[in-house]
Amino acid sequence: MWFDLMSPLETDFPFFSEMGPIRSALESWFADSFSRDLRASSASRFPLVNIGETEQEFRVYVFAPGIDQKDLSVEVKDGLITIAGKRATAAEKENKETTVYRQERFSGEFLRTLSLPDSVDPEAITAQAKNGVVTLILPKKAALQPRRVEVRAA
Amino acid sequence: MTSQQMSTHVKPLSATKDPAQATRREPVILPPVDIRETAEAILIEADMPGVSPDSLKVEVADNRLTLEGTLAIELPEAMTSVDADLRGSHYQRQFTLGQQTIDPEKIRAELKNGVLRVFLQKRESHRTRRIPIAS
Repeated sequence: MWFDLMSPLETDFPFFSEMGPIRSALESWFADSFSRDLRASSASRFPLVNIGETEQEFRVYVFAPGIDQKDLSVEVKDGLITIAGKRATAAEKENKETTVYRQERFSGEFLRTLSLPDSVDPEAITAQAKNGVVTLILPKKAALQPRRVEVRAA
Repeated sequence: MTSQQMSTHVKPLSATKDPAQATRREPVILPPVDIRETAEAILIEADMPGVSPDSLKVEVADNRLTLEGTLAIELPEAMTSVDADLRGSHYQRQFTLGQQTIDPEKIRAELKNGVLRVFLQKRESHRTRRIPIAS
């Protein structure tokens, strides 16, 4: 059971307006990806999220460039993972007089929520950040992991 | 059904083949940018999460500034994709520089936390100068 959770923030991500048609085409061709356990709220939001699965775990890749560790929080509660934080606006960072020509990058506060599948052990979730990508590792409960059954010679 | 009607009906079908093939090619990721100008320089900031400094390329040739990088993240073996907002692994974006304004010898770039900052120094002649007014 999963829900498509809504984020209160709408962001305008210019390259997604171009990627949108490709994405929806892919999603309609691989419609079975919707029936998977773990899913993020819909695209064109910040931060972008990719999710992968192995037999042992799920991995959530959160693309959160330019965010200090102190400005990012990952919380697990009631079967939900909430990724929240803020990114300073260009104006906040700059004191000097500047002319802005383009402002495509997201700024401000963000929040994305993912629903956790029952198979994940919420206590075992870990996170690490590198080059602006936060990787969440969500191990599956031991009881639900595939086990190799040894066949003994009679 | 005439042969003419037939051909118009077949056309869109063959056309749908092309986007299908196009999606097999990896899409190039166009990083979002902020561009600002100060009195001395122009600053380009680009979101390129997952790019390591060694895969990053900032190049100027023929007034064209190219920002390029490869998205490299550790993926365990036998991982299947469940959901992906970001598709592709190659970032690229190009800009045309004003030859008169920008000094190509004085371009500086830094990558931190997945954000690339490119500082384009203006030529001395194009900087804002405050002229003191004699009383």
